[in-house]
Amino acid sequence: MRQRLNALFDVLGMRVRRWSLRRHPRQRTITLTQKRIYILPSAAGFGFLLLLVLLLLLAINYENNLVYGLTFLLAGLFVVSILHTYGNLAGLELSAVAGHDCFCGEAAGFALQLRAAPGREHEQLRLSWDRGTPRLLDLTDERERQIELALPTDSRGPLDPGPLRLETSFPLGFFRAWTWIDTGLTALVYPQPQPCRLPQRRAEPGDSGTALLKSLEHDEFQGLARYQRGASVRQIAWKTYARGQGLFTKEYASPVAEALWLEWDSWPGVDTETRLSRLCFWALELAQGQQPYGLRLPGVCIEPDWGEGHRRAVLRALALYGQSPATEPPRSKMWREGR
Amino acid sequence: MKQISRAAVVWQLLAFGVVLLPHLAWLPLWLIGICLMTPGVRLMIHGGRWSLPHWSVKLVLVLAVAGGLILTYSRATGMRGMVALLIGALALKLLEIYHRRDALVMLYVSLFVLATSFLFYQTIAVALYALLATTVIVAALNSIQQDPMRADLLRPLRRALRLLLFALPLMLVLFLLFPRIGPLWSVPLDRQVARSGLADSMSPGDISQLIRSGATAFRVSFDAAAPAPAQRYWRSMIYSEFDGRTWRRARSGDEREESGLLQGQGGAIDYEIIFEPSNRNWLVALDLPAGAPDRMRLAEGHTLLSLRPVDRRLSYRARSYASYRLQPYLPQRARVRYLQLPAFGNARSRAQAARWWQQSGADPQRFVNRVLGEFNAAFSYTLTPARLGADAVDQFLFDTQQGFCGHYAGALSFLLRSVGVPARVVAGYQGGEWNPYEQYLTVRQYDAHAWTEYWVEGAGWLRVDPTAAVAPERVLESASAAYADDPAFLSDSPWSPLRLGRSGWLQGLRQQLDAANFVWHRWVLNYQARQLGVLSGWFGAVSGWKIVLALLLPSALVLGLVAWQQLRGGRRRPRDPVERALQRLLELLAREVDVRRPNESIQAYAGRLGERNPSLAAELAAVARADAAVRYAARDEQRQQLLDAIILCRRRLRRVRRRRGESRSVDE
Repeated sequence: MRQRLNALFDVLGMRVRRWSLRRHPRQRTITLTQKRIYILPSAAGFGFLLLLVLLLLLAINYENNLVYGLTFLLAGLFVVSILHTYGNLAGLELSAVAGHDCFCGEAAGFALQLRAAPGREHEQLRLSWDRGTPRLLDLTDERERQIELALPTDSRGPLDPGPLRLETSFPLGFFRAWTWIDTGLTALVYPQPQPCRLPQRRAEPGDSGTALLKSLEHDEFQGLARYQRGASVRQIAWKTYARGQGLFTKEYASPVAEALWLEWDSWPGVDTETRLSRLCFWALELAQGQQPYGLRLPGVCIEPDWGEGHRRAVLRALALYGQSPATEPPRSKMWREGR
Repeated sequence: MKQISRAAVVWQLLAFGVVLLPHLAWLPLWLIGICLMTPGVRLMIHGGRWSLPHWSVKLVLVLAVAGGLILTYSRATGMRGMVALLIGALALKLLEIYHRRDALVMLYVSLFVLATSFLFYQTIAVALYALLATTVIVAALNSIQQDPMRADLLRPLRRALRLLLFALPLMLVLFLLFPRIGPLWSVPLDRQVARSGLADSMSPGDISQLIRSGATAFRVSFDAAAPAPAQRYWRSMIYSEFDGRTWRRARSGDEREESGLLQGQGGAIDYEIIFEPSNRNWLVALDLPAGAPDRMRLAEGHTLLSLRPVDRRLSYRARSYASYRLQPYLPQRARVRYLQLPAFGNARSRAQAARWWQQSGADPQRFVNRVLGEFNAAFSYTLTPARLGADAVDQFLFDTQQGFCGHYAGALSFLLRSVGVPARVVAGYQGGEWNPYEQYLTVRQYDAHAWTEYWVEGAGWLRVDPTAAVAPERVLESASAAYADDPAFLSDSPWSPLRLGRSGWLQGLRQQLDAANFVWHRWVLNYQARQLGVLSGWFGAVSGWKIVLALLLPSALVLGLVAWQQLRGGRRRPRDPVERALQRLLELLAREVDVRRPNESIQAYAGRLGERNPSLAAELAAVARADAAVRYAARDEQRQQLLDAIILCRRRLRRVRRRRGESRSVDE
């Protein structure tokens, strides 16, 4: 019975939520107003109402006007606390700042910024996604705070955290005021890196895989070259210079010369997700080294390169493999019509 | 489960303390011990000196308290046992409050226990105290909602005051308008009310016990003018049986005889009495009540009798006639009853009465006058008369010749009966202190009095007060004036302000305090009796929609005020005119073009908007430049430049907007 009731409430709650979200278009920054704040008594509030009924019975049966007085004072308190709870949300300005990408299994962080209404304080604001631990925060001494609200992930791909729920039952806990906000924030969940050995690669024309692998471990000294302006001081062969043979620089085998490819086919007989996880691990490993690396997936090819931008592009490709490319939600229009 | 903060624990302890305090007077000592111990233990835990008690310790405590309560209250009915149980539970619960839900339940129970203290005390001071206690509990309620990391003790108090300040007007509205209905079921009130007031018998020396007490017996307010002091006879009961020494009330009053016997003459006097609890059934009425109010009945000799002992303050309206004819024809049974005397004893008095009766020509009135003359000539009035032996009337009339009202009323009734005139002693109060501040009469226990009624064919019962013949000041002035020098007067309360005499500012202060109490009793404690009158005075005929309107309008007003207080601010503009202009421009841009992103500087914002809207770019850039200049060197010159740039930009914006509007209307 209880379960069915809960299920019923869940369904009702979702309906209200959808309806509420439909009413309010997605915006980067919103100020909470009465149009989107909902308020209902909490369990504690219903408990308090029960107390009021008991007090009223006491007053009636003993014909005691002082008990009546106390009952009415508390009833007044109950009503006034509606406005206080409501006021604890109203006027609050919330901005969606950014969603931070993460690896599967980690928590994706979403940066949100809250600003108190001018001249007011907000206490015990509770922010939560559908999943994950909620965050409680006060806006009292600081007028503005930026927080990172985490959402646990369990699958790769673009992550839409769903609507943000912002609620409070301050100051007395009798009422719960809440609102749903479609922040429009998204994050990308990369595959979970899975450590593994780099497989023996089948020989390909123009490819010297084994040599490459070796050069991964340590750079090899190749010989000396005449010094040229601008060469690093560390590369100067000081011993040679000390012998009075002139200024030379040491040359090392540069693995850059050969492209290092992360291949979809490196691990035959392994399922897609494991494959992506292993590729992800090696992409991260390679990104720490100096070598440029490329990625070849069925239908995707990223030319060897290095640097942060390249790393992200690779991870992004791994995250989105086999999924429809993340559809960026439409932002608010630049110049609103109708004015 | 959410933990509560350390500050919240302190508030819990405070809340428990304020709730406990009013009940300390009646709680058993062992429970008080526990109530003082557990907060101490909790404080030690709070201070980190002790650790939490083991569950076995808690179990022993629970069993001990439960056992103690069963032993103490197993036979008690009513609220006392329940309140003690709640307080014991609160005290034990204090040991293990860590979570928000525990604290919440505890505070709700505290509020209930606080309300029960009104069943025991209803003074103004207790009401004010309850207001304070409510503030503490509300602060505690707020403190458990606080951030557990926050340890600010005063913050919840400020919030509680702000909440309650606005709850008070709502309370007032509800208090005035909420319909009062009678009890839904009967509840025993086991507040131990001491039996006070008149006893149901009178031996020589009895009423003088009351003279020792300055406690209020009842208060009266009159609808019209108050009767003269000499007319203020408050009738309470009839002593009709005499055994030679003691006058007592008839065991079974024959009430059926008493209805329809009164013929009132002249104007009726309407008044309201607030009767202090006496734990007895009899009430008072001005000589002579016409009928019985609700929940009362008329008893022997037109006295008022409550259907149940008066264990709480009772307010009732009554109507009396100052001149009346009561029972002009006495049935035989009643005649026998009011002539009853013991067969023997007090022989000297009987003989003397027979002589006087003969001398006065068998006329009751002349006989009475004769006796009063004797009293006036030779007798004296005292509150500390000599003790009387077996033939008390004889001894009083011929030997001691001193006494107070009871002696005189008893002796006169005896003499009347012995010569065949039906007579009885009436016990009640006489006089009262007039309070000029609120126009009412306070009658105290020391105003207790006894007088005589005798019956004359055709005229009915006639009142005669022999005390007036002996000590006229007792009747014409007040008891306190008549007795002031007597050592027995107020001997139970040596420090009573009533001893301060009749003048002086202290006396005025005492009367003002009494007036405040009177208003409190009349308008607050007994509001149900005047609610209808108050409401119809305001709204004319009281109807449902008027009540609803009266409830809604002030509530809406108060809530509007709270809303304004809670939500005001909204947008506060900077004082500086340049800053204000800049803010207005930014708001306009946010509305018309695009919102400024968080953490976006004005320069970046202007640049971004300029890229998207080339027509605005130059003006926006100018504003951003001037703004930067002001930030680094806020001289008047730069400020003026910024202001100019802002004005230009706004003008441009307006033009762009107008052009867009035109182009759209052309499209359409």
